[in-house]
Amino acid sequence: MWEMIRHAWEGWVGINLSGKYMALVILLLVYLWIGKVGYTIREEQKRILLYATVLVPLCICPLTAALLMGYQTRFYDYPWIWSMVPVTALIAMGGTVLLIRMRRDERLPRVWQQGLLAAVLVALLWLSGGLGSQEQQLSREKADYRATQLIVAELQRDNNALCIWAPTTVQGYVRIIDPQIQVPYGRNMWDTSLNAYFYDTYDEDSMMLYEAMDCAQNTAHFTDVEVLDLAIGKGVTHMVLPGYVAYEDVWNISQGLGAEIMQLQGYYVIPLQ
Amino acid sequence: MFLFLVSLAVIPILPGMLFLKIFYRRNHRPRPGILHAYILGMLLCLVFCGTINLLCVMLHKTLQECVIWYSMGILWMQLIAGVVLTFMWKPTEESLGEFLRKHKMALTEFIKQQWDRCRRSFWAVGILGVFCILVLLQMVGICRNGYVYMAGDMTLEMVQSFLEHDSLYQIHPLTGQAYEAGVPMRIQILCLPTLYAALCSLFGLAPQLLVWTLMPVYFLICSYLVYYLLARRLFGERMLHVGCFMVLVGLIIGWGTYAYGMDGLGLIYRGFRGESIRAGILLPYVIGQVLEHKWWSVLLCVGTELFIVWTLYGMGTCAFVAIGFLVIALIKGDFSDKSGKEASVCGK
Repeated sequence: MWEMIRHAWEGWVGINLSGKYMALVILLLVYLWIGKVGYTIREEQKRILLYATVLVPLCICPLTAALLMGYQTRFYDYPWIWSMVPVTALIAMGGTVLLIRMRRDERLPRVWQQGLLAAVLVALLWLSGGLGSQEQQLSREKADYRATQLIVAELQRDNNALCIWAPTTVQGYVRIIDPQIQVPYGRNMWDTSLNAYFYDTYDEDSMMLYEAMDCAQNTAHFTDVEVLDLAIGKGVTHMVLPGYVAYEDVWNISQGLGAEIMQLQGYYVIPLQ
Repeated sequence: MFLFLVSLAVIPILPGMLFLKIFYRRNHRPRPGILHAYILGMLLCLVFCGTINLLCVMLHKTLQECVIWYSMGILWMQLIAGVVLTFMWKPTEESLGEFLRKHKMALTEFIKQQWDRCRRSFWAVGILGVFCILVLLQMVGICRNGYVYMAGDMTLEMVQSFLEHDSLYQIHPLTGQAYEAGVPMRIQILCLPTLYAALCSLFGLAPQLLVWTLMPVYFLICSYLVYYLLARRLFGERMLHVGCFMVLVGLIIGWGTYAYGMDGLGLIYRGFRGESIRAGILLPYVIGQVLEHKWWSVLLCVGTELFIVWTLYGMGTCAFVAIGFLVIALIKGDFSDKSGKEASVCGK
């Protein structure tokens, strides 16, 4: 239980690191309860306000947040308990009420004053969310995906039944590009949240293959040549290594197998069979 | 592709209208319109697909058999809905032609009246125009992106695996090898991968196109429809306020992609997933429906969530939110004085 409470608190801290929509929700809740001039909120809006006012503290307080996490099942992490709070609807509703009151405020008679304030509010919304976009990470993943597409297209020219053993930046996309291609282990080897989908686990050979490739990705050296026999035993047809791995290591592997080295999209590709 | 788009646009309507006819009588105020019928029809179709998926999984059917069951079931649903509605239909509102004849107005006079209305509410039309541009940009963004946020998801691999081997949950989607221990029933009950695979098989669509592009765009549009219905509930007939609400929703979804679990990230980058459908469609719809005390619709949303998201024995976020609002309704005394309180909530 303490672990869950600690996890809940860390979740609350984490969700506010890159964006501030939750802070915006709290601000709007306070404003909607306090502000009355110019527009009286309707009964329907009041009910959403009441519901959110009760639920937001429950999502922030670690003890109640842990209970909510238990309710939504352990498959889902802390950020998902905020699904129970209508964040989008609440911010939109609060923002609309704010703009209505501003428009009816006698202290802001001119259109340009109202427009300026509206622009400030929109900028606040952008700053609360827009600066922390996932675009950067997704751009990197998209680039890896495109590179994998080209590698697979090249390999499929001369080979029908492929089984590829590659770093995570390639192996994760292979079966998306072509479901006929097999791999010795899947994305759930490093994206452990996917393990909730199956009862199956990987054997020791698969673990060793992953550790060898992970070591090559992290240290730029591939010296564990014994695992090559394991890979061949598992039916791997092609081995892919990152382009920054020492060429000497790649050369040794190719010489040992009597295979040619191919260079594709910044990776070394060595046929094992 | 054209047939697929037409099917998406048309199929939910008849079942939704039948649902409204059966569960919400003529004198229930306010009367739900075609948008409600569409959303309810879509939810009915999802529940139906979930039921078929569960049966196919338990009976170890192949994907093709599942596709046949889906198609026959949807066709029968349309037929039954059409026949029943034909017998139940009693037009209660006069058509546009009767309205014009009755008030002795020429068509040109009517158009002039509408144009004057638009000019008087220029800001409302302008704001709705901004909203439409926003939505269009998001749709184009999804189509051009060609990529999704993949952490914790393997929907596409599952769909491709089903199509490749014409089987459900027999082949490990991430490795291409047969399962040894299998897949938990709590995963097999989720119908979306089977539904997507069936749609690909039926309409000849590439899995990546359907899962990563078409379905996210479709669910994004449905999400905005639901938020529009919620906006009408919250702000009534004031189109300026409704437009303002919709623009803010569009901005929040477009800019709220900064973290896992945010609605924006779900709808823009993972719109095919059950959690995104729940966040963008089910939950706002549940809120709108509980405010109107339309409990059958709420039940339908809870049932839909059961088949698209992993829940605690069927008790998911929709049920939680509905119970929360029900408690508020009880505290406010909605059910102790039906003629008074219920009228005050339902937009009077």
